Amino acid sequence: MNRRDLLRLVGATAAGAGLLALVPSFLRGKRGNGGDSQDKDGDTLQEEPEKVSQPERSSSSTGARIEARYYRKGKNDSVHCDLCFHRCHVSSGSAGFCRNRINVEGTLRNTVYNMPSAVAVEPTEKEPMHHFLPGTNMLCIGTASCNFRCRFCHNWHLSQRSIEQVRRRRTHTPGDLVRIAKSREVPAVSFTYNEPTVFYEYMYDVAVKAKKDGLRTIMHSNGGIESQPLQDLLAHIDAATIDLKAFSQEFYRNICEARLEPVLETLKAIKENGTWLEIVNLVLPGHNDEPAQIREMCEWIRTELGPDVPLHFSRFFPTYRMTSLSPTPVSTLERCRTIALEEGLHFVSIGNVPGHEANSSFCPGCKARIIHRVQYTVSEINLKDGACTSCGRQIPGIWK
Amino acid sequence: MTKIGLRDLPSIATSKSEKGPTDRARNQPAPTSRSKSDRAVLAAILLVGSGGMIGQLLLIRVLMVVFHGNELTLGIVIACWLLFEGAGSYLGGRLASPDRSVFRLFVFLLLLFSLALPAVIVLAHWLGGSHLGLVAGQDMGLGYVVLTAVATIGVTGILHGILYPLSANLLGGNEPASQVSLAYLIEIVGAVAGSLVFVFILATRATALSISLGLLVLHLLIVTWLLLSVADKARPGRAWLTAAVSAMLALVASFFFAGHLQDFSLSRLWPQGRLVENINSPHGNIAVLERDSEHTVLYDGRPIITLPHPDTGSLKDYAWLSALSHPNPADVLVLGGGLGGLVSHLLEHPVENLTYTELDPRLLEVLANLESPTVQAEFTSPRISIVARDGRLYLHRSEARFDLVVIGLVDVQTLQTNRFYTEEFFRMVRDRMRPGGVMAMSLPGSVTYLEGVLAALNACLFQTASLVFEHVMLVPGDKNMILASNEPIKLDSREAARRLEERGLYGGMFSERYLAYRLEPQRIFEFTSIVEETSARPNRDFRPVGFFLGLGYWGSAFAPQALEAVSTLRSIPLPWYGIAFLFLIGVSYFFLFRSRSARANRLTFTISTTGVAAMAFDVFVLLAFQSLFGDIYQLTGLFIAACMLGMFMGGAIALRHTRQAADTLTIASLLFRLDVAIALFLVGFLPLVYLLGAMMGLPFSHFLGATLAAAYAFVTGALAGAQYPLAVALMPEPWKSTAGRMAGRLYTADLLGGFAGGVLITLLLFPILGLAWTLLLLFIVKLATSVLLLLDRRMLQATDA
Repeated sequence: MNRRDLLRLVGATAAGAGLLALVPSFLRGKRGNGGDSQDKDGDTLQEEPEKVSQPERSSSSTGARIEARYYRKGKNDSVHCDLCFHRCHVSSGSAGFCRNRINVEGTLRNTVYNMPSAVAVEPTEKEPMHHFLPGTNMLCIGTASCNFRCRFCHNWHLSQRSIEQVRRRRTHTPGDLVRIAKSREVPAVSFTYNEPTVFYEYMYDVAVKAKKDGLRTIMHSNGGIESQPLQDLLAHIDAATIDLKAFSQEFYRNICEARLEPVLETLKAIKENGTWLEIVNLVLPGHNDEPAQIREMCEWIRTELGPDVPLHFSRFFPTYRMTSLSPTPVSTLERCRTIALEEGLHFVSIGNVPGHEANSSFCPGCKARIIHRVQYTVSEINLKDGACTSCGRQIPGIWK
Repeated sequence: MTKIGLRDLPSIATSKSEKGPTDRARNQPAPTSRSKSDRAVLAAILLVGSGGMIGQLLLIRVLMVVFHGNELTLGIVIACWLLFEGAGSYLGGRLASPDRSVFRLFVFLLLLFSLALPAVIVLAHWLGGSHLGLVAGQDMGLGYVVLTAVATIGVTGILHGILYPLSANLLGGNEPASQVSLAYLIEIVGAVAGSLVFVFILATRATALSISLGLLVLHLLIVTWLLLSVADKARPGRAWLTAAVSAMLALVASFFFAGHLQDFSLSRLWPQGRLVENINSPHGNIAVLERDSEHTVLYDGRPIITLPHPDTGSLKDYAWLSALSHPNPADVLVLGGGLGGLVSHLLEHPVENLTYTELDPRLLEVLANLESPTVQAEFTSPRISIVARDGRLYLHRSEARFDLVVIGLVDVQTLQTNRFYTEEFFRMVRDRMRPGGVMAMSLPGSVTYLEGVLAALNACLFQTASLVFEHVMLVPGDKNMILASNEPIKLDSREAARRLEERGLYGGMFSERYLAYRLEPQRIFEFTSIVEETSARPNRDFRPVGFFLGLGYWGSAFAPQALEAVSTLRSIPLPWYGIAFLFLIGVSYFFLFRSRSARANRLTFTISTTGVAAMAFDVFVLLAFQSLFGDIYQLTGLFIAACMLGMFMGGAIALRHTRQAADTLTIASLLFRLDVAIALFLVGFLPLVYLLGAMMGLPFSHFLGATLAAAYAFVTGALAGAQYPLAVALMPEPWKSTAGRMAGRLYTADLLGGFAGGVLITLLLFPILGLAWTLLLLFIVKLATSVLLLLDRRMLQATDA
């Protein structure tokens, strides 16, 4: 390299350094004119914005990683989780399939305890839950993540993320949540939005506290929970809405990365326990709407759970990763309902079709409309002490 | 080593593998067959250009439906084409060594390319359906998109890429530089013709498989001609001929079954319903699927309307809350995405006149044919006026004033739709509103979640609206809703209930309880605080941050790992970037000044940055015209054709110049001047945009604007096209003596530059930096190559001295 080359190299380096100095301003845009408030990279794609407002927090406590329940210690600091059907073997430093249970040096810890990412008051009908205090609201609680990977998840923003990715979480102890429910004058708390099994310890403690303070408790679950934790939980749960996503192992495996059998076991366990149970079947055209499959499912429900378990057929609309699947034809939903009624189920409704007659509930005896609903709005209740005002037939459910 | 000329073609065909009679053929080429072969080779190279262009446009269209296209997937598709075309070109350059016959390879690849086209269309449909882990109705994630693009447009791109250097070799002659430039120019002519034929004739009239099968037949004809023209009449060329004609006949027969093949192929893509309609409008693909008496209209593969039972829950919610935000919405404007439910629900309120704009008139035809009561009522209502025009253009030209302007249910993921969410557009809306008028828009949302990229997107549009309107309100929901007005917006549950009572609409879904839930003050307060406090830049026409965030939101569902990677990149300390930058400078210095191929590298680098600039010219002309006038679909072909025509003219003039001027210094000077001119034209784009904007109010503004934009595309194309033959003429040995290798190298550089320009400008630079900064950055890059060329010229001068 001669002198001229050296000078050229120095010149190039200086030019490079000069350009480098421009990089931050290019990345952040113009400063000065618009003030600092517009220059903090709000249009970046990162999922965790650096500057966010903090929602209302409880001053009484902070979130903590508490030790999880239902697990066994294994060799080399590994653990076996017994909470759900995945029965994860979690090595030290790793998380289970649900993302929420982490093995910290041989101890399985729940990372979402006290950290709900969504707390809101919503209509009970939205669960859906039709035979449980109709026309009331409930305090809905959710955290993050799930033990399923449904490609059509409506709440994917929460359920398909870990708690670390959900920065805007609150910090609320079970006591805080019960106080909020009381202050909002709702009769029940509901564990919903994301799968409550993945925040089991938190759900359990909130349920215990809520029951103690005279509130009702509901859970909306995918049913993918093991028997023992479920039995322990049901002692503190009044009602459960379970998603029976399809009556097909293939559907569960291919679309939800889950299994059907544990869900069926959960349904039976809830029914046997005496907890009020309702079932939701989201009908995806071409995936779980075969009449034979629907008939088989309804037959199973009638035989194993009884004809009084309400069944809701819900209309699918494109969402999350299934945005190119057509919405469910209403006639498909009506056919499903007809099959269910033919199979002897007493309470079969159609959801996500506002204004459809089958939004409402009907007396299986005299066929009179006992609860008139349009979407989540209840406009008429023809029940007296849980009996049909038309024929006097007792309608199962929790009405008071 | 013998130089191969066009007149030697008969001998090329047989020179390597055949003996005896071949020698006679080589020695006794008939004069008549020479001119025939000249024409056949010319036709074949034209076909390489036109076939490649039609194939590219066709596959882009098919893949846009398979991927439910946004600009990100479009960028990936174009990137795949250019990358693989570049790789093919490089490979072709290596194959086209002068000591081997390329004729057979050329013919074989030409046929293979034409056969591959229909095959990859079927493959794309198959991959887009329920295969390889995807289920019917599931959108492809980023990985699948890349995989599918590689398997389809990538494969055809590499085949096509090899053809160009081979065709340069095939042209023959004793001047490799002339061969390369001539092949380049002929191919451009073919590409221009191909793009015009596709855009103005084929795109809306024929299905993808019909076009590809037609192209196959055309290839077979040209190949047959080529073989005929070079074959000795007494020689086994006849066998080739017979085989080709037989194959052609078979394929002509299959062409008549193209419709059946198309149906079969689309049934793989959409197994969830029976296809009852599939048309290609100038704006996109419209398909109608039927299942259990329900019709779903898909636009570019995405469901937009379902009839006879639309998504009443969300449509009524959006329509009624919009209507309830105004005390008396007498005159309403709905901009796109409104037929099939939204308009009907708005008309349930005491609306006197509702104007609805729809960009795609073919969509109106399809909806009318569905005979759904909902749509029929919308079409026949005396209170509605349907305007088949871009909503933004309508708003610009209309003198009407409105009480309520509802932006239809369109997402922000494309630059086309982002135009309805920019500050400039909001100002246009504000100027067309009566006092107290309200503008309503719907955004991605969740009733439980608002953070990350979703919060950033909502914040961006909320804050953009706040720049224009004095009062902006967010209504959280499964889809968030933003209302904006210059008067206070009175929309709480009590007022809404009162207005409903007043309009005789209270009851049903809209009860007091529902309103209390939807308009819960605490949730509104909390979510509004989030969008107010999340920092965001305003969304502007020429800095479409909303589009960038819309893509990010798509990525959060389909490519969360990619987003995490972006976050990781951002967390790397700045000094590391500095070190990487200096390393890059060092490497560049070595390649451009110290390496043995330094001179060739400088020229190659210049051509690649010209590729970037040429792509920038194209992209910016299209974006500017789209932002201002909306309708660009057919004009896309016009602008691209103007640009390519410019490239041809510039290239032809430059080629003549290189033949006349033997002095390399003169050529180097010209190359330098052209480079500076390209740099200046980059910054000169800004005045053009303002000129186009100023034209909007004039009569024939559309025509005048299109002419000006086409002229700009032509001139910039000429500048870019002229550089290629000059660079070719300046290439040193050993590239200078090998047409194929030289063509492969420079063409690859050109394509890679185009690829980098297309992807970086559309997806990153333009949305984040905005037009002015992007142009400035490109200006600096191009100026750097100008400096490089100046140094190169001085070095040449020193060598000569």
